[in-house]
Amino acid sequence: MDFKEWFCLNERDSFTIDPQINSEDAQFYFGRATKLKELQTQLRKGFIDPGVPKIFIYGSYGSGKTQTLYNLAYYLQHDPPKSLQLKPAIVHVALEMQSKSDHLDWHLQLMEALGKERVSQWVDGLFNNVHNMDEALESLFSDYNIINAVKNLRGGGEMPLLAWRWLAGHRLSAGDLQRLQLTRNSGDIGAGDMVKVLIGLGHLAEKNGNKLIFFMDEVEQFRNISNPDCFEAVHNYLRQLAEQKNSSAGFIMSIFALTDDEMPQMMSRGDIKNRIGAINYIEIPPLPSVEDIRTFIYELLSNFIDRKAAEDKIQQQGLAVTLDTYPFDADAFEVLCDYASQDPTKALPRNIIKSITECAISAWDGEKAVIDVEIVNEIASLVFG
Amino acid sequence: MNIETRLPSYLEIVPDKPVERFLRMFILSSKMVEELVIVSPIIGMLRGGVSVSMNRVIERINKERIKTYVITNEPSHDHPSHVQAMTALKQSNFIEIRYNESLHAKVYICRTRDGGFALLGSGNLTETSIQRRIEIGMIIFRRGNGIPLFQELSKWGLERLRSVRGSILIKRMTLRR
Repeated sequence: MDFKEWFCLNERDSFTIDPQINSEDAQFYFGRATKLKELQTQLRKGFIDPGVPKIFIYGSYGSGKTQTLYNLAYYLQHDPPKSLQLKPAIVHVALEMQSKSDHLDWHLQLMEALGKERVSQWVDGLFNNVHNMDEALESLFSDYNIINAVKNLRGGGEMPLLAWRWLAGHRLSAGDLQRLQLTRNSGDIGAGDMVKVLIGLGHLAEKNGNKLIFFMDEVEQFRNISNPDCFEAVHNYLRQLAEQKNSSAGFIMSIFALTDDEMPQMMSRGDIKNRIGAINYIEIPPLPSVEDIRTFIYELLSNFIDRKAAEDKIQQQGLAVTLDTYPFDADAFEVLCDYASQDPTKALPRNIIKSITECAISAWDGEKAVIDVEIVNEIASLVFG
Repeated sequence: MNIETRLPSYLEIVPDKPVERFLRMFILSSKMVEELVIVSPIIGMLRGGVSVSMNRVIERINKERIKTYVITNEPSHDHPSHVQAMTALKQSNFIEIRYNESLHAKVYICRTRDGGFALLGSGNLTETSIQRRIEIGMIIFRRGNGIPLFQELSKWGLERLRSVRGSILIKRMTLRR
């Protein structure tokens, strides 16, 4: 019998949740019904005004920020609100910034995550649905160079790749620019140039029945930028994305910060706060009470345990445990909740899941069918101590 | 058109002494290390010219109370350095040790609070591997698109490998951080 069978796991091999490894894990958001409602409300509102959500979520390491991003994306894909009348085009990106990273680096990461293939399909889709492609492109993109670059995505030979590289912000040679009939490199006139590309692509997505939404993780990487010019360029890019007139390229950014004042400086600046709105700075806090922790664990177990298999096992082996708390016995379950709630700053989903996993491995090591108080005392003191 | 191709910034191929490079990164890291995973069939004391000895590794583990998971073959007297290394590792309260006789993989993972790095390669954690064998390894940094790769390796080392039949618990971790 393997670990999965030992604990009657339901089509999964562990208690760990990681939507980056297993996409189905995105559906889970345990013990935080109120917070989820708040997040979904802001998402819904975003699609009405300004047309796309623009939200910052923040919290400590292990609070579930990444899970929140993936869960919100899952919600939009599987149970979309009425205010979202198009199919969401979800783009996940984990940001990576260095001391001299600027708006070009940020733009490149967003464009690579969006993908040339997806954008090319949108261009093809537009071409197949309009009588006059030039007029259609002019209505979506106000800039001559962007229009030409987008048009070239449908070209032959190496032109589509060159055009994509221009849109993504790579510098092209004079010869390549001439072949694409472009007058300058993208980004030559600042961050606004790149944001125009992104917003235009958002409009192109809409023409194809999609709503473009970026889910950006690890945005605390902005703190790595130490060069003042680079910092201002990124700030300018963010400011223009945050503008009310951007109704086509949405974003939800997750940031490590214990309070909104601790966010990377550019996000707590007045111009950004005014554009995003204080209500869209949403904290993902530790689980606030022992009751929330209890709910979190109950919900996790009820989703991850094959109830029928567990019920049979409990009956056949005469285990002193109920289905609600299996594989923990009732006392062990309560002790775990107590440990997790002792220090509010440590009552984090990551720690709770870690302790459940380690308790299970410990029971497995000792060939115990049930996790008892002895195991929880040993493991929880290591995790929460 | 001239398009530059290069490895993404979250990957690094290390053709020269990859295990020693990992150890140096671990020892020199200024970030707080939360977890260290060592998966190596044979482990030595790392003396004789290796820039980071096993004693230095254990010293940092103890000093910073780093949760460390070691999975290796059961040491035999054919490898006296392995026996010595396991004896030394067993002294630490922050190290969990498991033996698995089927183990052939070599994976090293260092997880910090906001990042980390992992080495996946051919080299054992021994002076022979570092000094005399031709080894290669790939370092994966936990950043950008490297995050899912790092997570998958971590899950394998911290959960799957520890909970397969044959990974026998020899020593528990005993002290809280």
